[in-house]
Amino acid sequence: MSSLSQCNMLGRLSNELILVCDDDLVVREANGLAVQTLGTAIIDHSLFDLFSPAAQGKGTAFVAELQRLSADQITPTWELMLDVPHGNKLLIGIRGGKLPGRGWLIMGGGEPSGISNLYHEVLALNIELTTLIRKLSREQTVLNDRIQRLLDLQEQYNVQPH
Amino acid sequence: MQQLATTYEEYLGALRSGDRRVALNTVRMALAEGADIRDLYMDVLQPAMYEVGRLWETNQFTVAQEHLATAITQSVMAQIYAAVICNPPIGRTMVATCIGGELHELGIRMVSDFFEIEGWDVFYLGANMPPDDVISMIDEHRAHLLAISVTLGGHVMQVRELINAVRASHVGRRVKIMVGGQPLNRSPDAWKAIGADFTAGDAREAVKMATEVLA
Repeated sequence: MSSLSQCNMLGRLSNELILVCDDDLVVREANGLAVQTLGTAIIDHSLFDLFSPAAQGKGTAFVAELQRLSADQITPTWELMLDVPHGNKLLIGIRGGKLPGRGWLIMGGGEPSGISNLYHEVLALNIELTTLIRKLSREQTVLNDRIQRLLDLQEQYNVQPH
Repeated sequence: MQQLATTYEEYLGALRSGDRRVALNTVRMALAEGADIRDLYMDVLQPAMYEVGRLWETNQFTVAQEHLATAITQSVMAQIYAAVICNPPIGRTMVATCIGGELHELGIRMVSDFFEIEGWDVFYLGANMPPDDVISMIDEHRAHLLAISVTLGGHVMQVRELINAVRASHVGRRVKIMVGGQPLNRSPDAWKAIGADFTAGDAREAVKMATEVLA
């Protein structure tokens, strides 16, 4: 059985993206789900090209861990942001191990129901909230200053409160 | 300093466990005990967020934990903001923005707060504002300084585009432009290449440099 058909079988069993990379970490084969998700352009490209610019450092650390593995080990799952077609990004948990013979097998679980969009929405909401808290603090300071000035004037002109 | 080292450990512990209340109480307690808010920013919040970044990069923090830590720190900074705006205005105005995503706005928020502590009026525009909006804000508020923060090397060219647009506009001659962020810290002369007037390595230096440049 070819490695691609092994990939597809593995992918169907696990419902994960499967990539087969050579020793230089160039993607040589991918299962249907990987091609569908990441685009056909991934074949013959370096695994590093998949990582978003923001995830390059973390991707490098993942690869370093991969390369330290012995034959019977796999990496833990690393959450990495990948660039996918149409300018979109995909947060994915990937892990990998050495293939018997040569190269590497990389497997990735799909993004759990658009969770990265949710993260960004929550973060954007939090920014709106914290901006409002800041505005409120500012208003409070302005009001306190005005009240203090009025009290000072009242004292200065000895105005009796009604 | 020893006291802030303890505050840092407690604050980082709160970020690790995602506990917003403990994080806020830790910082409020330090303020109540007389800590300078600028020291809290520089010796507690900033290094804690750098550590969060390191934990994420080494797969010890998930993306969710990193986002939560960012949200907690944003919230803490907002809750102690009253201590930032306690000084009278000095008649200087800054417009601030950042290039990148919402996740990277903490740094420029800290810088903005340092300027407010010194009595500057600061108009923070958020991330990735279109150049025309930035120019309008500079014009509307007669800003003396535009501060641009960038977090990723891949976004430095966008900073140059924004600077070029501001320089080419009717406000280009009267506003000074300061840039900052990790990619510029790593490449000390990059600020000149992208057309800025000056750069600063951190919030404290940013205030010092701006004061000198605009003296």
